[in-house]
Amino acid sequence: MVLTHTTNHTYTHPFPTVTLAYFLRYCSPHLNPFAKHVLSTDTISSHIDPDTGRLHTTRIHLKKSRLPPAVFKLLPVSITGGNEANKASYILETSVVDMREGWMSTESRNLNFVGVLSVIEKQVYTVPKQQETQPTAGTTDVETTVVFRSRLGDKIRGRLGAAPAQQEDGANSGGFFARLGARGIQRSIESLASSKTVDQLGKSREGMGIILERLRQSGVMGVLEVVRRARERSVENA
Amino acid sequence: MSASLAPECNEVKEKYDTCFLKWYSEKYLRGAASSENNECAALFKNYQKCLGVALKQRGIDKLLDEARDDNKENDAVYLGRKYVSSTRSTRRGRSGVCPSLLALSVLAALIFAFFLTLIVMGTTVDTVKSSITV
Repeated sequence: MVLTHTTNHTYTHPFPTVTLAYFLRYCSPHLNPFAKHVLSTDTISSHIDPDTGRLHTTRIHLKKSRLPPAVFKLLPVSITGGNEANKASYILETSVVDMREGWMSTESRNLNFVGVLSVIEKQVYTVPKQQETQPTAGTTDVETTVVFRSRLGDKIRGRLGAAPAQQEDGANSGGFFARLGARGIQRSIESLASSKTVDQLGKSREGMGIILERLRQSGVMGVLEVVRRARERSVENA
Repeated sequence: MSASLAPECNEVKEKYDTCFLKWYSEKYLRGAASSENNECAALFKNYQKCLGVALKQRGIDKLLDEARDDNKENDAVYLGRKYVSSTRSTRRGRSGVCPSLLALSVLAALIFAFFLTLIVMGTTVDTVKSSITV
């Protein structure tokens, strides 16, 4: 079962600035007040493809759980892995930037709880067609697609290979009430998560907007300076 | 800069992040970056040395491998289906919707059959009763 949600948005900032804001978006809660749920961010790989000149980056974020509380209440502790304190999820983010062709493509997916719910968010940032001659001026389009998939009760591992046939076999085994129940729960998890994410997409857009404004006012070094000062203050306080 | 998931790596991470953002905005975005000559490479190496240990300790390296396997699996499922033919493009929904629809219709048929038997039995009982009274 799969639920998909797609939105479009246009930032009134040039493409290079938007890509920079993307890398900066979880930089500091002082910079982005909508990023308080992000506990940590780490880069695990970053390289330029020598043939295409594209920059490939992989990062891991640790976020306070994006599984809505209602989903947690629906599930036994054996699946969710315990109490409130444990409710953080690792997010794997991969991105590719092509400055020559003027596009950036990103994908974020959760690494834990995938058996309960897998959320994959894909974004494509592009320079609008009519502006291709001067990519440093103007606006940036973004299309966001979020795919929700709950596989609760499905066999996840060990069906690589003849997957489609086996999956349908799996769906037809067991009594129908068991199957109906599992499907029903999967569907509720997907729709609960989806309605929560729609709220959150608005916030993430606002967060990007704040960073973009800062970048417009004071440039990247100015932004880094703000972050550095905020950190020093927090060290002094601690 | 936001923290690293391993507090002991915060310092090296921060140095790398600052370097990266500077390089990205001043070199890469201006088309002045090359794939070999990256001034942040040494800082990145230090950072990864620290982070690699933390990822192993927390079992995140395994989660990453699983995510990669999952990708392969999804590709096998969805790309495989795409190649089958466009006329079967509704298959993705079928595996989910059809079993429950099937179950519902079977259930409806069962209930219908039950009532039918009741009615039939009722009428037989009635005829038997009436034949007795007669």
